[in-house]
Amino acid sequence: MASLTDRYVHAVTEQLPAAQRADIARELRGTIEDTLTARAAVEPELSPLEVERRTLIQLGPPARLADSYRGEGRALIGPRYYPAWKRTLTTVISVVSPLVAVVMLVLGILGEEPLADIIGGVLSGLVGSALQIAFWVTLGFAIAERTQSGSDGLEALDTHDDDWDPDDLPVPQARQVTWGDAFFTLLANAFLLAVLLLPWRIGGSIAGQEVGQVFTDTAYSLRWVLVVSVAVSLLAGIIVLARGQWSWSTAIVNAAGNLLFAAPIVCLASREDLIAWDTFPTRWVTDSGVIEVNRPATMWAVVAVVVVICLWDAIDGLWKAARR
Amino acid sequence: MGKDELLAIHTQELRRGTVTLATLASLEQPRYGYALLEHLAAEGIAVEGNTLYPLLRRLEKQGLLTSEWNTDESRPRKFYRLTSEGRSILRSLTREWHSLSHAIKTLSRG
Repeated sequence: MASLTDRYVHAVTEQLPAAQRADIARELRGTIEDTLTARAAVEPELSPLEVERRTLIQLGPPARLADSYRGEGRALIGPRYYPAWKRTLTTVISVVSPLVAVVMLVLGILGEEPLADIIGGVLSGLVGSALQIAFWVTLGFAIAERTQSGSDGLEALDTHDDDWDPDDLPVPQARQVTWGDAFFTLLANAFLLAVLLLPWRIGGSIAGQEVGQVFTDTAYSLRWVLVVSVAVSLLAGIIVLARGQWSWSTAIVNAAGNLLFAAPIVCLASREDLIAWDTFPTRWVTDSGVIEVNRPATMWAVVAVVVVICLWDAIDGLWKAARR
Repeated sequence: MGKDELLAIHTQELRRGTVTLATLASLEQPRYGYALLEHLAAEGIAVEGNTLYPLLRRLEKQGLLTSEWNTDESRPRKFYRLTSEGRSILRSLTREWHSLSHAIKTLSRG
Protein backbone atom coordinates (compact mmCIF):
# COMPACT_ATOMS: atom_id res chain seq x y z
CA MET A 1 0.00 0.00 0.00
CA ALA A 2 1.43 3.35 -1.05
CA SER A 3 1.85 5.83 1.83
CA LEU A 4 -0.16 9.06 1.94
CA THR A 5 3.01 10.92 0.95
CA ASP A 6 3.53 8.63 -2.06
CA ARG A 7 -0.05 9.19 -3.14
CA TYR A 8 0.22 12.95 -2.62
CA VAL A 9 3.47 13.27 -4.57
CA HIS A 10 2.01 11.17 -7.37
CA ALA A 11 -1.22 13.19 -7.45
CA VAL A 12 0.76 16.43 -7.75
CA THR A 13 3.36 15.34 -10.28
CA GLU A 14 1.02 13.49 -12.63
CA GLN A 15 -0.44 16.91 -13.44
CA LEU A 16 2.95 18.34 -14.40
CA PRO A 17 4.84 18.15 -17.70
CA ALA A 18 6.63 14.80 -17.93
CA ALA A 19 10.07 16.42 -18.12
CA GLN A 20 9.74 17.98 -14.64
CA ARG A 21 7.97 15.12 -12.86
CA ALA A 22 10.89 13.08 -11.52
CA ASP A 23 12.83 16.07 -10.21
CA ILE A 24 9.85 17.76 -8.54
CA ALA A 25 8.71 14.41 -7.10
CA ARG A 26 12.13 13.84 -5.55
CA GLU A 27 12.32 17.34 -4.09
CA LEU A 28 8.72 17.36 -2.87
CA ARG A 29 9.13 13.97 -1.18
CA GLY A 30 12.31 15.15 0.55
CA THR A 31 10.63 18.35 1.66
CA ILE A 32 7.62 16.50 3.06
CA GLU A 33 9.93 14.11 4.92
CA ASP A 34 11.89 17.07 6.35
CA THR A 35 8.61 18.59 7.52
CA LEU A 36 7.46 15.29 9.06
CA THR A 37 10.69 14.90 11.01
CA ALA A 38 10.54 18.47 12.31
CA ARG A 39 6.86 18.25 13.15
CA ALA A 40 7.14 14.92 14.95
CA ALA A 41 9.80 16.47 17.20
CA VAL A 42 7.54 19.45 18.04
CA GLU A 43 4.34 17.45 18.52
CA PRO A 44 5.42 14.06 19.92
CA GLU A 45 1.88 13.28 21.09
CA LEU A 46 0.66 12.87 17.51
CA SER A 47 0.83 9.53 15.71
CA PRO A 48 3.10 9.46 12.64
CA LEU A 49 0.04 9.06 10.43
CA GLU A 50 -1.63 12.11 11.97
CA VAL A 51 1.56 14.15 11.48
CA GLU A 52 1.60 13.06 7.85
CA ARG A 53 -2.06 13.96 7.37
CA ARG A 54 -1.66 17.42 8.89
CA THR A 55 1.46 18.14 6.88
CA LEU A 56 -0.27 17.23 3.63
CA ILE A 57 -3.40 19.21 4.50
CA GLN A 58 -1.18 22.23 5.11
CA LEU A 59 0.43 21.81 1.69
CA GLY A 60 -3.06 22.02 0.20
CA PRO A 61 -4.95 20.02 -2.44
CA PRO A 62 -2.59 18.39 -4.97
CA ALA A 63 -4.26 20.14 -7.91
CA ARG A 64 -3.55 23.55 -6.40
CA LEU A 65 0.09 22.77 -5.66
CA ALA A 66 0.46 21.45 -9.22
CA ASP A 67 -1.06 24.70 -10.57
CA SER A 68 1.39 26.60 -8.47
CA TYR A 69 4.36 24.61 -9.80
CA ARG A 70 3.18 25.23 -13.34
CA GLY A 71 2.84 28.91 -12.50
CA GLU A 72 -0.33 29.20 -14.51
CA GLY A 73 -4.03 28.52 -14.37
CA ARG A 74 -5.61 25.34 -15.51
CA ALA A 75 -5.54 24.82 -19.26
CA LEU A 76 -8.48 23.24 -21.10
CA ILE A 77 -6.29 20.17 -21.62
CA GLY A 78 -3.27 20.25 -19.32
CA PRO A 79 0.09 18.53 -19.69
CA ARG A 80 -1.19 15.39 -17.93
CA TYR A 81 -3.68 14.59 -20.68
CA TYR A 82 -2.27 16.45 -23.67
CA PRO A 83 -0.38 13.49 -25.22
CA ALA A 84 -3.37 11.17 -24.74
CA TRP A 85 -5.76 13.81 -26.11
CA LYS A 86 -3.63 14.30 -29.22
CA ARG A 87 -3.25 10.57 -29.77
CA THR A 88 -6.97 9.93 -29.35
CA LEU A 89 -7.96 12.80 -31.60
CA THR A 90 -5.66 11.83 -34.48
CA THR A 91 -6.47 8.13 -34.25
CA VAL A 92 -10.23 8.54 -34.12
CA ILE A 93 -10.35 11.19 -36.85
CA SER A 94 -8.05 9.26 -39.17
CA VAL A 95 -10.20 6.13 -38.85
CA VAL A 96 -13.73 7.48 -38.59
CA SER A 97 -13.66 10.42 -41.02
CA PRO A 98 -12.49 8.35 -44.04
CA LEU A 99 -15.12 5.70 -43.13
CA VAL A 100 -17.83 8.34 -43.11
CA ALA A 101 -16.49 9.70 -46.42
CA VAL A 102 -16.67 6.22 -47.95
CA VAL A 103 -20.25 5.79 -46.70
CA MET A 104 -21.18 9.14 -48.26
CA LEU A 105 -19.49 8.15 -51.51
CA VAL A 106 -21.34 4.82 -51.68
CA LEU A 107 -24.68 6.42 -50.80
CA GLY A 108 -24.07 9.10 -53.44
CA ILE A 109 -23.23 6.58 -56.13
CA LEU A 110 -26.17 4.33 -55.23
CA GLY A 111 -28.43 7.36 -55.28
CA GLU A 112 -27.09 8.26 -58.74
CA GLU A 113 -26.54 11.82 -57.69
CA PRO A 114 -24.67 14.42 -59.74
CA LEU A 115 -20.89 14.30 -59.32
CA ALA A 116 -20.78 17.71 -57.62
CA ASP A 117 -23.28 16.55 -54.98
CA ILE A 118 -21.30 13.39 -54.35
CA ILE A 119 -18.06 15.33 -53.90
CA GLY A 120 -19.86 17.83 -51.68
CA GLY A 121 -21.30 15.00 -49.60
CA VAL A 122 -17.93 13.33 -49.18
CA LEU A 123 -16.24 16.60 -48.17
CA SER A 124 -18.99 17.57 -45.74
CA GLY A 125 -18.82 14.06 -44.29
CA LEU A 126 -15.07 14.38 -43.78
CA VAL A 127 -15.16 17.85 -42.26
CA GLY A 128 -18.39 17.33 -40.30
CA SER A 129 -17.23 14.09 -38.69
CA ALA A 130 -13.81 15.56 -37.88
CA LEU A 131 -15.46 18.54 -36.16
CA GLN A 132 -17.85 16.28 -34.23
CA ILE A 133 -14.99 14.06 -33.09
CA ALA A 134 -12.81 17.02 -32.11
CA PHE A 135 -15.67 18.44 -30.04
CA TRP A 136 -16.58 15.25 -28.19
CA VAL A 137 -13.02 14.12 -27.56
CA THR A 138 -12.00 17.55 -26.27
CA LEU A 139 -15.09 17.77 -24.06
CA GLY A 140 -14.36 14.33 -22.59
CA PHE A 141 -10.74 15.18 -21.87
CA ALA A 142 -11.65 18.57 -20.43
CA ILE A 143 -14.00 16.83 -17.97
CA ALA A 144 -11.29 14.29 -17.11
CA GLU A 145 -8.87 17.20 -16.60
CA ARG A 146 -11.23 18.90 -14.16
CA THR A 147 -12.20 15.85 -12.13
CA GLN A 148 -9.55 14.31 -9.94
CA SER A 149 -8.33 11.05 -11.39
CA GLY A 150 -9.19 8.96 -8.37
CA SER A 151 -12.18 10.82 -7.05
CA ASP A 152 -15.50 9.40 -7.85
CA GLY A 153 -17.68 12.08 -9.25
CA LEU A 154 -18.09 14.53 -12.05
CA GLU A 155 -19.16 17.03 -9.41
CA ALA A 156 -15.56 17.38 -8.22
CA LEU A 157 -15.14 20.16 -10.78
CA ASP A 158 -13.66 22.56 -8.28
CA THR A 159 -10.36 21.25 -7.02
CA HIS A 160 -9.53 24.45 -5.16
CA ASP A 161 -11.11 23.48 -1.90
CA ASP A 162 -9.47 23.93 1.46
CA ASP A 163 -11.43 21.15 3.13
CA TRP A 164 -9.73 18.26 1.55
CA ASP A 165 -8.92 14.92 3.08
CA PRO A 166 -5.61 13.21 2.31
CA ASP A 167 -7.43 9.86 2.61
CA ASP A 168 -9.16 10.73 -0.67
CA LEU A 169 -5.83 10.76 -2.49
CA PRO A 170 -5.90 8.24 -5.31
CA VAL A 171 -3.65 5.22 -5.06
CA PRO A 172 -1.42 5.19 -8.15
CA GLN A 173 -2.48 2.24 -10.25
CA ALA A 174 -1.80 0.68 -13.58
CA ARG A 175 -4.30 1.30 -16.40
CA GLN A 176 -7.42 -0.80 -15.94
CA VAL A 177 -8.45 -0.29 -19.53
CA THR A 178 -5.89 -0.84 -22.27
CA TRP A 179 -5.45 1.76 -25.00
CA GLY A 180 -6.57 -0.78 -27.58
CA ASP A 181 -9.85 -1.62 -25.81
CA ALA A 182 -10.66 2.00 -25.09
CA PHE A 183 -9.90 3.03 -28.68
CA PHE A 184 -12.09 0.26 -30.07
CA THR A 185 -15.06 1.38 -27.94
CA LEU A 186 -14.43 4.97 -28.94
CA LEU A 187 -14.15 4.21 -32.64
CA ALA A 188 -17.32 2.10 -32.61
CA ASN A 189 -19.27 4.84 -30.83
CA ALA A 190 -17.80 7.61 -32.99
CA PHE A 191 -18.66 5.76 -36.20
CA LEU A 192 -22.18 5.03 -34.98
CA LEU A 193 -22.62 8.69 -34.08
CA ALA A 194 -21.31 9.85 -37.43
CA VAL A 195 -23.71 7.52 -39.27
CA LEU A 196 -26.67 8.63 -37.12
CA LEU A 197 -25.83 12.23 -37.92
CA LEU A 198 -25.87 11.73 -41.68
CA PRO A 199 -28.09 14.44 -43.12
CA TRP A 200 -30.32 12.08 -45.09
CA ARG A 201 -31.82 8.69 -44.47
CA ILE A 202 -30.96 5.34 -45.94
CA GLY A 203 -32.75 4.31 -49.10
CA GLY A 204 -34.76 6.45 -51.45
CA SER A 205 -37.87 6.29 -53.57
CA ILE A 206 -38.50 5.19 -57.10
CA ALA A 207 -41.60 6.56 -58.82
CA GLY A 208 -43.14 7.58 -55.49
CA GLN A 209 -42.53 4.12 -54.06
CA GLU A 210 -40.20 4.11 -51.01
CA VAL A 211 -37.36 1.67 -51.44
CA GLY A 212 -34.75 0.20 -49.10
CA GLN A 213 -35.37 2.54 -46.20
CA VAL A 214 -34.88 -0.27 -43.68
CA PHE A 215 -36.32 1.72 -40.75
CA THR A 216 -39.81 3.15 -40.39
CA ASP A 217 -40.52 6.87 -40.31
CA THR A 218 -41.19 6.67 -36.56
CA ALA A 219 -37.89 4.86 -36.00
CA TYR A 220 -36.14 7.42 -38.16
CA SER A 221 -37.58 10.36 -36.25
CA LEU A 222 -36.37 8.79 -32.98
CA ARG A 223 -32.78 8.67 -34.15
CA TRP A 224 -32.06 11.86 -32.15
CA VAL A 225 -32.56 9.85 -28.97
CA LEU A 226 -29.95 7.43 -30.27
CA VAL A 227 -27.64 10.34 -31.14
CA VAL A 228 -27.86 11.57 -27.54
CA SER A 229 -27.36 8.07 -26.14
CA VAL A 230 -24.28 7.43 -28.30
CA ALA A 231 -22.90 10.87 -27.44
CA VAL A 232 -23.33 10.09 -23.72
CA SER A 233 -21.56 6.71 -24.04
CA LEU A 234 -18.87 8.30 -26.18
CA LEU A 235 -18.20 10.93 -23.54
CA ALA A 236 -17.93 8.27 -20.80
CA GLY A 237 -15.62 6.27 -23.09
CA ILE A 238 -13.32 9.25 -23.64
CA ILE A 239 -13.07 9.96 -19.91
CA VAL A 240 -12.26 6.29 -19.28
CA LEU A 241 -9.65 6.39 -22.05
CA ALA A 242 -8.05 9.49 -20.54
CA ARG A 243 -7.97 8.14 -16.98
CA GLY A 244 -7.40 4.50 -17.79
CA GLN A 245 -9.90 3.63 -15.05
CA TRP A 246 -13.63 3.18 -14.73
CA SER A 247 -15.32 5.03 -11.89
CA TRP A 248 -18.88 4.77 -10.63
CA SER A 249 -19.87 8.01 -12.35
CA THR A 250 -18.49 7.07 -15.76
CA ALA A 251 -19.94 3.53 -15.47
CA ILE A 252 -23.39 4.86 -14.54
CA VAL A 253 -23.31 7.46 -17.34
CA ASN A 254 -22.26 4.73 -19.77
CA ALA A 255 -25.04 2.41 -18.56
CA ALA A 256 -27.57 5.23 -18.95
CA GLY A 257 -26.33 5.80 -22.50
CA ASN A 258 -26.82 2.12 -23.30
CA LEU A 259 -30.29 2.08 -21.77
CA LEU A 260 -31.23 5.16 -23.79
CA PHE A 261 -30.00 3.39 -26.93
CA ALA A 262 -31.76 0.06 -26.36
CA ALA A 263 -35.05 1.36 -24.92
CA PRO A 264 -36.42 3.10 -28.06
CA ILE A 265 -35.46 0.11 -30.21
CA VAL A 266 -37.21 -2.41 -27.93
CA CYS A 267 -40.20 -0.09 -27.61
CA LEU A 268 -40.56 0.34 -31.39
CA ALA A 269 -40.07 -3.37 -31.97
CA SER A 270 -42.86 -4.26 -29.56
CA ARG A 271 -45.15 -1.92 -31.54
CA GLU A 272 -44.03 -3.50 -34.83
CA ASP A 273 -42.84 -0.06 -35.88
CA LEU A 274 -39.10 -0.58 -36.25
CA ILE A 275 -38.37 -2.07 -39.66
CA ALA A 276 -40.01 -0.75 -42.84
CA TRP A 277 -40.73 -4.16 -44.36
CA ASP A 278 -42.68 -2.70 -47.26
CA THR A 279 -39.66 -0.83 -48.60
CA PHE A 280 -37.65 -3.89 -49.55
CA PRO A 281 -38.38 -7.34 -50.90
CA THR A 282 -39.24 -9.95 -48.30
CA ARG A 283 -40.81 -12.53 -50.56
CA TRP A 284 -39.44 -14.39 -53.52
CA VAL A 285 -41.18 -16.90 -55.78
CA THR A 286 -38.85 -19.69 -56.84
CA ASP A 287 -39.30 -22.95 -58.70
CA SER A 288 -39.55 -24.85 -55.44
CA GLY A 289 -42.14 -22.53 -53.91
CA VAL A 290 -42.34 -19.20 -52.10
CA ILE A 291 -39.54 -18.04 -49.80
CA GLU A 292 -40.63 -15.45 -47.28
CA VAL A 293 -38.68 -13.62 -44.62
CA ASN A 294 -39.89 -14.45 -41.14
CA ARG A 295 -40.49 -10.87 -40.12
CA PRO A 296 -40.97 -11.18 -36.33
CA ALA A 297 -38.05 -13.58 -36.00
CA THR A 298 -35.74 -11.31 -38.02
CA MET A 299 -36.82 -8.22 -36.15
CA TRP A 300 -36.43 -9.77 -32.71
CA ALA A 301 -33.06 -11.21 -33.67
CA VAL A 302 -31.90 -7.69 -34.55
CA VAL A 303 -33.32 -6.35 -31.28
CA ALA A 304 -31.73 -9.19 -29.29
CA VAL A 305 -28.30 -8.41 -30.73
CA VAL A 306 -28.67 -4.72 -29.86
CA VAL A 307 -29.88 -5.48 -26.32
CA VAL A 308 -27.12 -8.02 -25.66
CA ILE A 309 -24.42 -5.60 -26.86
CA CYS A 310 -25.84 -2.72 -24.78
CA LEU A 311 -26.25 -4.92 -21.70
CA TRP A 312 -22.75 -6.32 -22.05
CA ASP A 313 -21.24 -2.87 -22.42
CA ALA A 314 -23.18 -1.42 -19.46
CA ILE A 315 -22.37 -4.34 -17.14
CA ASP A 316 -18.72 -4.40 -18.20
CA GLY A 317 -18.32 -0.76 -17.12
CA LEU A 318 -20.16 -1.21 -13.82
CA TRP A 319 -18.22 -4.35 -13.03
CA LYS A 320 -14.89 -2.68 -13.68
CA ALA A 321 -15.93 0.31 -11.55
CA ALA A 322 -16.85 -2.04 -8.70
CA ARG A 323 -13.61 -3.98 -8.98
CA ARG A 324 -11.36 -0.93 -8.97
CA MET B 1 -16.25 41.41 7.46
CA GLY B 2 -14.57 42.02 10.79
CA LYS B 3 -11.62 44.32 11.37
CA ASP B 4 -9.26 41.41 12.14
CA GLU B 5 -10.25 39.67 8.95
CA LEU B 6 -9.63 42.80 6.89
CA LEU B 7 -6.28 43.29 8.55
CA ALA B 8 -5.34 39.68 7.75
CA ILE B 9 -6.24 40.16 4.09
CA HIS B 10 -4.28 43.40 3.71
CA THR B 11 -1.29 42.06 5.62
CA GLN B 12 -1.19 39.05 3.34
CA GLU B 13 -1.38 41.30 0.27
CA LEU B 14 1.48 43.39 1.62
CA ARG B 15 3.65 40.39 2.41
CA ARG B 16 3.09 38.57 -0.84
CA GLY B 17 5.65 40.49 -2.87
CA THR B 18 8.20 40.46 -0.08
CA VAL B 19 8.55 36.67 -0.10
CA THR B 20 10.55 36.85 -3.35
CA LEU B 21 12.82 39.53 -1.91
CA ALA B 22 13.29 37.61 1.36
CA THR B 23 14.03 34.40 -0.57
CA LEU B 24 16.64 36.04 -2.78
CA ALA B 25 18.18 37.74 0.26
CA SER B 26 18.51 34.37 2.05
CA LEU B 27 20.17 32.49 -0.75
CA GLU B 28 23.63 34.06 -0.82
CA GLN B 29 24.50 30.78 0.85
CA PRO B 30 22.98 27.57 -0.56
CA ARG B 31 19.87 26.30 1.20
CA TYR B 32 17.32 23.55 0.50
CA GLY B 33 13.56 24.06 0.57
CA TYR B 34 12.67 23.13 4.13
CA ALA B 35 15.79 24.75 5.63
CA LEU B 36 14.94 27.98 3.84
CA LEU B 37 11.36 27.83 5.14
CA GLU B 38 12.67 27.48 8.71
CA HIS B 39 15.26 30.21 8.19
CA LEU B 40 12.60 32.63 6.92
CA ALA B 41 10.22 31.69 9.77
CA ALA B 42 12.99 32.29 12.33
CA GLU B 43 13.54 35.77 10.85
CA GLY B 44 9.82 36.54 11.11
CA ILE B 45 8.81 35.84 7.49
CA ALA B 46 6.04 33.26 7.69
CA VAL B 47 5.55 31.59 4.34
CA GLU B 48 3.71 28.40 3.42
CA GLY B 49 5.56 25.54 1.77
CA ASN B 50 3.06 25.50 -1.07
CA THR B 51 4.09 29.09 -1.88
CA LEU B 52 7.82 28.78 -1.30
CA TYR B 53 8.66 25.52 -3.10
CA PRO B 54 7.06 26.44 -6.42
CA LEU B 55 8.56 29.94 -6.08
CA LEU B 56 12.07 28.48 -5.86
CA ARG B 57 11.44 26.59 -9.08
CA ARG B 58 10.16 29.72 -10.83
CA LEU B 59 13.14 31.82 -9.72
CA GLU B 60 15.45 29.08 -10.93
CA LYS B 61 13.69 29.01 -14.29
CA GLN B 62 14.10 32.78 -14.53
CA GLY B 63 17.84 32.32 -14.01
CA LEU B 64 17.95 34.12 -10.64
CA LEU B 65 18.75 30.93 -8.75
CA THR B 66 20.75 27.87 -9.55
CA SER B 67 20.28 24.49 -7.92
CA GLU B 68 22.29 21.40 -7.17
CA TRP B 69 21.31 18.03 -5.74
CA ASN B 70 23.28 17.07 -2.67
CA THR B 71 23.21 13.32 -2.11
CA ASP B 72 25.88 13.16 0.59
CA GLU B 73 23.32 12.74 3.34
CA SER B 74 20.71 10.01 3.74
CA ARG B 75 18.00 12.25 2.30
CA PRO B 76 18.86 13.79 -1.07
CA ARG B 77 18.26 17.56 -1.04
CA LYS B 78 18.11 20.19 -3.69
CA PHE B 79 20.17 23.24 -2.72
CA TYR B 80 19.40 26.62 -4.26
CA ARG B 81 21.67 29.66 -4.38
CA LEU B 82 21.80 33.05 -6.10
CA THR B 83 23.22 33.47 -9.58
CA SER B 84 24.99 36.70 -10.52
CA GLU B 85 21.81 37.83 -12.25
CA GLY B 86 19.85 36.97 -9.10
CA ARG B 87 22.29 39.03 -7.06
CA SER B 88 21.81 42.02 -9.37
CA ILE B 89 18.01 41.70 -9.16
CA LEU B 90 18.28 41.38 -5.37
CA ARG B 91 20.25 44.66 -5.21
CA SER B 92 17.65 46.48 -7.32
CA LEU B 93 14.74 45.05 -5.33
CA THR B 94 16.40 45.97 -2.06
CA ARG B 95 16.88 49.54 -3.32
CA GLU B 96 13.19 49.57 -4.30
CA TRP B 97 12.29 48.28 -0.85
CA HIS B 98 14.20 51.07 0.87
CA SER B 99 12.76 53.75 -1.34
CA LEU B 100 9.24 52.41 -0.64
CA SER B 101 9.95 52.31 3.07
CA HIS B 102 11.25 55.88 2.91
CA ALA B 103 8.19 56.99 0.94
CA ILE B 104 5.84 55.42 3.45
CA LYS B 105 7.66 57.14 6.31
CA THR B 106 7.37 60.51 4.57
CA LEU B 107 3.70 59.92 3.71
CA SER B 108 2.67 58.95 7.22
CA ARG B 109 4.42 61.98 8.66
CA GLY B 110 1.90 63.86 6.54
